[in-house]
Amino acid sequence: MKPDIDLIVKDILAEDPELGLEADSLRALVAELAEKQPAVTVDAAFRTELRTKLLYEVQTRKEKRSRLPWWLIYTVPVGVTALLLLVVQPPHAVVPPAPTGGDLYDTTPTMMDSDGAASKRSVEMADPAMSTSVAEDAVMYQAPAASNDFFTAAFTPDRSAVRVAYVSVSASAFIRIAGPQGDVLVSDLLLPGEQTDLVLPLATPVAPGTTYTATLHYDNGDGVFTAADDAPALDAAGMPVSMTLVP
Amino acid sequence: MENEADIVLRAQAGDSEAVGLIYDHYLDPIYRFIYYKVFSREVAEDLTSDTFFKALRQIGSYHAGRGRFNSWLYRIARNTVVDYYRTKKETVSVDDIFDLGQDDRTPEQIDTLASLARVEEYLKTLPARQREIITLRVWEGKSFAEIADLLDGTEASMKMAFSRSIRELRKVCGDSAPLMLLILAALPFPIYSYYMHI
Repeated sequence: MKPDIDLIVKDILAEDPELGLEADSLRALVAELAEKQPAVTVDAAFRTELRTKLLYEVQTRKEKRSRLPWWLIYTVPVGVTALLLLVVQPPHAVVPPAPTGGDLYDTTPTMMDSDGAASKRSVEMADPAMSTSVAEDAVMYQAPAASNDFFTAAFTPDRSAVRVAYVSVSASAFIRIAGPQGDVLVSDLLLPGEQTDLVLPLATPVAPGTTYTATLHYDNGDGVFTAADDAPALDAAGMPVSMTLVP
Repeated sequence: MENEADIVLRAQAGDSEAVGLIYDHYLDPIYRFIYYKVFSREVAEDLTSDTFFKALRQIGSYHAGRGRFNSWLYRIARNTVVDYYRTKKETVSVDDIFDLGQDDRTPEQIDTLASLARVEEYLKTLPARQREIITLRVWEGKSFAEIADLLDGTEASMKMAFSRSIRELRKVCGDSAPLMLLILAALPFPIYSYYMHI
């Protein structure tokens, strides 16, 4: 930067008016000082390298900030699982009280006669498909994406729909459920924000034991799901936010 | 830098473009500021790098109401240089200071250093703070208000110290340009001594 010699000299004279008589030699001295400034240039490779490192640091810090706190990562799955258990298990599906007295010796007629519906529900609770669904609920929490987008979902016990227990997206996105061959069962548009207990009816039946994949894709703005145009949401590791569903 | 306050706010929010703008604007002056204190390209690059990473980590603690961003950044650079000399305290003696960065000195500088003994006595009499004020004012074109921010003084005291330094230089050097060159080339010596006593 070229200094303003006149201004510098003016400052000096304002502080020390006695030097006014020697203003010219003073100006020459300051000019000499300025002229002797070593030429210092920043190495171009260093400039670029440091810039890259700094911006990488900014990006890394941003990603760290956007991640959920560790305690939330552990508590959310537990909370969601508890919520799902409450939703899936009807409140009246309570184990009948143990028979007492003489009933202890002859339980079968009592159960059949007193509450046939309850017995039926007990059988329903024992349905392997239902048990699998609940078990899956316990492990289907997905690591949050860098944008905090994530969801939990499972097939309903009768396999006629997919129940999304919780979904949070930062932008309009599709939840896409596809079969092992890539055949799309559902591609539903979700609005930004959090939603709970969404039921996505299935138009085609699903085969028990088959693995289906659910993924999130950001809408490119046209409101129509197209795998090629709607980019998948990625998690902190750069992997698609997805989970497997087994009816 | 236009809209510096807005850019700093964006940088505080983690906007990488804003950080890039700040870096592009301040890299050269901060590098020069450090280089004039260490006179070694390698060391200046290390300390410049440290300065920007420290600034990035601490940028959230910067508040516009407490001073200029410019001064805040220079203060980090200055403290980084102080830390560097403190680290060197046990391993480098004052007599060895001119060996630092010798590899990237020009032949002219080396010749100049050979004659250092002639001006050493004078250099010891010139406080490093005054030399720093001269450097910031004449070489970096900083205003006295900015220098005061940086060196924790008042604008009036900076002006006074600068005038006094120039007057002393005039008395000693007169119109002797070669002697002036020697003094400037020997810059690291008093600065080193100054930082060693902080």
